[in-house]
Parts: sequence; C-alpha cells; structure tokens
Amino acid sequence: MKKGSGSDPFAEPEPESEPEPDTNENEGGNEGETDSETEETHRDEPEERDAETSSNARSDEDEDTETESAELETTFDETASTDESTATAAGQQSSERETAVESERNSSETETDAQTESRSRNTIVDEPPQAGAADGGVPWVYVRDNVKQDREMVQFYLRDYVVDAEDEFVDAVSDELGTDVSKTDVREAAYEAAMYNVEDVVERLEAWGFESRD
Amino acid sequence: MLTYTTYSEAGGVGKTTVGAALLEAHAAHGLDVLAIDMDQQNGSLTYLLDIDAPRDDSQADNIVRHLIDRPKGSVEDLVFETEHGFDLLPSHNMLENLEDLLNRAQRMADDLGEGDEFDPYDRLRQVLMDAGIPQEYDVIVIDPPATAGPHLYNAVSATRSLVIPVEPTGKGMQSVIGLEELVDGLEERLEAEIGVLSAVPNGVGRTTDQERYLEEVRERGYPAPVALRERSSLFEGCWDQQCTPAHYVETHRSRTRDHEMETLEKIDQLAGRIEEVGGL
Repeated sequence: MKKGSGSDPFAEPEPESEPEPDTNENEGGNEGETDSETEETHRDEPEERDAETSSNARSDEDEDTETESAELETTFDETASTDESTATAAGQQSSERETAVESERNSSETETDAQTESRSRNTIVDEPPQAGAADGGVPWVYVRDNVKQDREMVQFYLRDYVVDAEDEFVDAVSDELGTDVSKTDVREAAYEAAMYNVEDVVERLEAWGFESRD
Repeated sequence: MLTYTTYSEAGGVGKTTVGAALLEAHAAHGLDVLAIDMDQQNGSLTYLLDIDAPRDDSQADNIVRHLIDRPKGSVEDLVFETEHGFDLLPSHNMLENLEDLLNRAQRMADDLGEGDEFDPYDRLRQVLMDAGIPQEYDVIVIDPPATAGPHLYNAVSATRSLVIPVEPTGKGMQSVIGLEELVDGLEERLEAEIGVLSAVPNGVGRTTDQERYLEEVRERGYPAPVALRERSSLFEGCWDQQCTPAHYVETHRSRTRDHEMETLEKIDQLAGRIEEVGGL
C-alpha cells in the first residue's frame, strides 16, 4: 500500500506509465513550438558533445507520448455515450488544452532553471527521482514501505576504522537532524553529499597516497 | 482529478459524518464534487443528506442495476443535487444483495462468453467510465460500508485512493494494520496501486493525546495533517437534523461554539491537504 495518492483509476489503458494530462491534452503545432523552445535552451548549455544524441533521444520520447495521447483520447471519446456529453467533453478538452499549453510552458521554464542551477552546482548526480519536501510532494521517506524499497544493494569494502566510526556517524547525523535515521539512509545521503564535494574526496584519496600523474 | 474512498474497519468513528464534511469543504473550494453512497445500511450518507431516493423500489433504476449490467436509464439520471453544493449518487436496498447479484451477473457473462470482460470487483469503475462521469467532476468520493466485501472492493477499485478515519485507540491502530493487509490483497487482485491520501484520528480526547496519535499514525508513514477531537454533540446533531456539520452549526446552533468552529476549520484544512496530495 502506498502512502499518498494511488494510481489514476480512469487512466486507460496503461496504468503503469502514469500519463500526465498536461502533455496528453497538448498536441499539434503548439507542442512543436514548446519543444523547440526547450531544446534551444538546452543547447545553450555547455554540453555540445551530447547535444545531438540527447536531442534525438528526446524527440523519440515525444513521439511515444504523442501516440499514447492519441490512443487515450480515442478511448475517452468512445466512452462518451451521448452527443451531449461528447460536446461537453470536447469543450472541456479545448479549454484544458489552452491551460495545458500555458502550464507546460511554465513548467518547462522552471525545469530549465532548475537544471541550470543544479548543473552549475554539480554535474555528477541528478536530483532524487521522488517528490520531496521542497516541491510540495509527499517526501520519499513517507511514501516508501521500508528502508530498502527502491534501493539496490551495492557492496562496499570498508576498512575497520571506517566501519567502527559508522555508528558514531549515524548518531551524530541523527542528533543534528533531530530524529532517528537508519544507517542505510545515512550511507546513501553521505555518498550523495560526497558527489557534491569532489574536492573533499580527492583530498582524502591524496592523504591515502594517491598522486596525480603530472 | 481527485478520487477517494472513505474507509474505516472499526464502526462508529464518524466515517460518514467526516465524509460529508469533507464533501462540503471540497465543494466550498469551488470544485465539482460527486459522492457515491455504496452503503446499504439505513444510516448512510443518503439518509444523512436527507435525499429522497426510491431506495426500496426494486423496479426503479439504481446503481446496482448498472453494476450488474441491467440498467433502466442513464447513470446521470441517478444523480441527485444536494443542498450542500455537491451531487450524490444515492444508496439503494439492492446493495444488500450486491454479492449474489454480481455472482449471478458473472455467471450470465460466462454463459455468453463475455466472462473475461466482467470483473465483479471493477464494475463501478467501468460503469462510471462508460457514463463519462470522470469528465464531469473534479472530485469523486465513495462511501462504502465498514465491512470487507464487493461494495468496498468496487469503491477502492474505482478510486484507488483512501481516506481513513482512525479510532485513536489501540484497537483503531490495529484496524489500520488490518486495512494494510486487505489493501495489499486488493492491489494484487486489481493490479493497481492503492494509496492513502490521509489518515484522520477522529474522536480524540485531550490535546496531548491528539499529538500522540498523530505521531503514531505518522510514524506508520501516513499523511495525517489533523486530528479531530471528540465531537459527539455536533456529529449526532447532524444525524438528528439530517445535514452536514457546517450546515448544522450554521442553521441549528443558536450561538457559535469555538470548539465546533475549530473542528470545521480542521476539516476544511484536511480537505485542502487531501486536494493537494491528490494532485488538484
């Protein structure tokens, strides 16, 4: 059982893909316009090498979404049994489409801003995939059923002095945070934090004796 | 779109009354709201809202006839407008025999070679979809009886999300654990993800207890924005006068009682939070 909202009961026919109504309602010229805007913004970013590949991948994705949305709309039209309700549904759709275009534009702007920001801070690790406390979503720790959910097991080889320090490290983090937190969470958070602090990691490795070649 | 089932395993925690208050709050937030009463008992939402539906006329069209594929009219024609700003699809006595009727309809579908398309636990969702109901509303809330069975399964399948009033006692917390098991089974059966939009500790005594129960519910990982204090006078008044809590306070109280206003405010807050978690 999930904490938060369940799957959309009236989303057909693929419940797993969680179609976003905004994108689905949007089609035709408008979508192209919005996309090219977004892509241009992306190209401004200093990642020329990958620009071509990634933009190809992106347009493939878009095609998928469009096919999906066409299917979806057919399903809904078929279910509208009377002429009257078809008319209402169509009316609603067109007005929703207008809002959708606007909101998509907004969201793509915000997305780009967020990406720019995170890129300038860090190019290594993405934002966590789940909604978090900051964006008004239900934070992952409330949604998951147990600490291992969504996590892959990775083997770490640690020397004794680090293993011995772990408990104290977890306690220190818990104290600072004001609530108990599991070792599994602390480990991932610490690893993620390190990805934002490459210099510290390098310093540690140098202390262990690694030397740069030049 | 926001859809949820109000459900609690333990009876007598004001599930229907809290449900009615939430419906009213959603409507007051300017949303188009439909309530569906799947409870066959006399003390159901339909009675509380004083809706004069032909509940014991088996010839009249009703939700059960649609669920077993023997409708006599359109779903839209079954919907009543309440005086509280939201619509209601009322209960009917045929709901008492829902399990038998669904089994019979299943056998009939099997005989006709259409058995694969007929899922007795997914009928309500199908009926609502086919009638275009989801396109007409922002919020759909289903009130099933407090027992496991086809009423509840159909409600959960059609909404996929739950709001669970919880009795703030050891027994109440136990019933949450029972609910988790039931939902796990349903998720597998329906191949759908079922979520809890909010747990609502309801009928809490002292303020310190409120905090403790909220804490306990949150520790289990459920969103629980508010705890409602014991308000039997208000809730029983609603049933006496057959109306929603806000309507009762407004119309049937000679003076405003601060603690009742506080409860109404909390319910309004809760409705807003549910809308948020539900993505509205």
